[in-house]
Amino acid sequence: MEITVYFQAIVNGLFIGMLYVVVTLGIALVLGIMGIVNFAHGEFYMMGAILVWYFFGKLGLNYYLALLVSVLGVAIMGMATERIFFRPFRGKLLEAFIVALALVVIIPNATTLAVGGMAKQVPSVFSGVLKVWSISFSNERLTIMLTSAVLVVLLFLFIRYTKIGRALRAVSQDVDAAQLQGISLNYASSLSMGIGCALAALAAGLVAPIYGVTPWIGGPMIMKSMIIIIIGGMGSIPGVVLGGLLLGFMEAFGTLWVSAPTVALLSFVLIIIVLLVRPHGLLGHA
Amino acid sequence: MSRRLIVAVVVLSLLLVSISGACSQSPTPTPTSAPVATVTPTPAPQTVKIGYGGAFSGSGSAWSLAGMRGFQMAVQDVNNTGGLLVGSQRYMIAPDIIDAAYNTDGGRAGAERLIFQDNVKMMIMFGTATCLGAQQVTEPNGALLLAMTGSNALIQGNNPNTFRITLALDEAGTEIYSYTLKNFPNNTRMISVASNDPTGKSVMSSFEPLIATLPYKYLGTQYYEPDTTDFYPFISKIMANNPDVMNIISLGANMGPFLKQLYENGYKGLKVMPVGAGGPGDFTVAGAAASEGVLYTRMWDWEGTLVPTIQRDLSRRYLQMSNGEAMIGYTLDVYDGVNALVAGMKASGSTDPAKVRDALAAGTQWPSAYWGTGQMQMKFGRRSATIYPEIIGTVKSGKMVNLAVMNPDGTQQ
Repeated sequence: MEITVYFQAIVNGLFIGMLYVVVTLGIALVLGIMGIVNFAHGEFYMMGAILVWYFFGKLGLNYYLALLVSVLGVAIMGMATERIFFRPFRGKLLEAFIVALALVVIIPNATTLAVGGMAKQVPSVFSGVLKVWSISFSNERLTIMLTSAVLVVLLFLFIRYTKIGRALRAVSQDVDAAQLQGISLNYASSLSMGIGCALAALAAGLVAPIYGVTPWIGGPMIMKSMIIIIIGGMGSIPGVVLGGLLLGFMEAFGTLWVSAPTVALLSFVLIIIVLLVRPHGLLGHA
Repeated sequence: MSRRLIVAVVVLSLLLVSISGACSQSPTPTPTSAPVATVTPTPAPQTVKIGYGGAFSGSGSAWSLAGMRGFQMAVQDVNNTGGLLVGSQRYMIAPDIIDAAYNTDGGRAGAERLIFQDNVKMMIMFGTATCLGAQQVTEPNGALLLAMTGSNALIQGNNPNTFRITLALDEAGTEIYSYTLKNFPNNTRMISVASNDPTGKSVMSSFEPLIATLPYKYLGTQYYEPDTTDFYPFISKIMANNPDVMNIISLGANMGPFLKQLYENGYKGLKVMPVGAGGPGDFTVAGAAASEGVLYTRMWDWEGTLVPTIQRDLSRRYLQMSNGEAMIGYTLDVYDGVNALVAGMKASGSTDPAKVRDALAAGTQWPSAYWGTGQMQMKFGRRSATIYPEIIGTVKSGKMVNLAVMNPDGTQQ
């Protein structure tokens, strides 16, 4: 195998990993603040892609405007979901989990009824491929990688240094103490869900021209996110980054060295190893 | 809430979801179209039930739903003309549509429900895995199964009650590779890509014996995980083998993204779709540049001139049923399947599945939607499968263009 194939694998791993990171940050935020395993997060990712397709691919709206509408729309959907479906089950892990599973069935099926199940076309916005030493860098992927990196940094700074971010962290660390300090749990939950869903929509809107759009793209993505959260550590942004990149590189190199089906198996083996060695994830805290 | 508990729930649910496929394949109620009768003959018509099963949710659902609409249109057409005359008795078709998922368990459960609960003795099932499951129930119980599959597995061995209503890869391949060998003699290194599921494995088991007879250097089959959206790692592995003929099989809704990513990785060889293009949508999603030069087989041409008006009529009706989504070729396969059963019942003078089976196996013909009423009478031939000429086409500047019509023996019309 030529050496350039390995360099291509590094580029592939970076791209896939960064995309996983952006999607997973949202679910990690919701899990950290609300204590809810939001299995429906992938459906908000799907809704983000569908809205970009509808406004940009179908109605011909400006791409950036469509992306903005999608991000805001999905953020509002997320906040409404938190208020209607999750808030009544706050603190009830199993019930909230079942509600999330119900949404996993309802949202894509309803979307299929509304827009059909065939793949939708979202035209390329950053078309073109840069070839360096036989390594392909599509302009779309480069743009997404850079955007993802900027988003991760911005989110980290937001959580770390802003007043609202500190409030969110306080809720994730000790709900009672945070409330005693005057932080509204409802506000924190609603905001974390809104930000989480907005991130998912943004990631979906960016990759829609590359991956295509169907009402069924949410399920596979949520599987990856859950794997990343367990590997990286719950509630840890650096953990999500590490877990996402690990999974991305594992897929890129594993497919090359063994096969795509084997990589799917290996990710679960990795989960078991991490749980045995570090039950709270690589960068998670007890 | 302890984080250990959360981790435990997440891990457990990941395993459950990955095992059962609950995220993408949970059953949902599906509308069943009521038959509309416009003629009321004397004596009063009876009903004969025909079942249809496929996946109505999950990533495999788009094609099953397209088949379901073909089923509904065929039933409508039969019933709107007064039903079918079997002997001296007139029958209306009572359609029974069920969600049979896109896996063997769903197919088996669907067939059990149709046979034991709904008393259906003739059915069409969509998808190789679904059909493989359904067949475990239909064969021992004497029910007739018309299978929508590109695999030969279902009609091998002693399965007298199973018929295949679309071409398998070895049959379709005979025609398209006659074309590629003649027109692209310098392309010699062949590779196949298929899905790592019962469909992909079964289809390839039908296809690989044909490949062995072709004068290509075969580099093997690379399997991708179903629901893959980022194919770059997979394509890197394929490209490392340096192929110049690529058979692209069973990608479903991901065909467009795959073609696009293949193009971005600089693949220059032939891209062959031996079981055909699902529809123009695949190429729209991929974009004109990434689709350029794709070779495919198809038996439909409702946007062109090779087939008579029935396909265009069905296409128009389909658009009204689907909120504007375009019809695909598989819709016509299922439409034909219903007409095959109708012809079998008429010819045998019975609705008894055993007699209908014997009539179909004996070569009863039906008017095919593929090549048009009055143009080609279709029948089951070799190994209980339909055999018919195919259109070989390519994509030029984003448009599907017909190149040749090939006969099943590899000769060109």
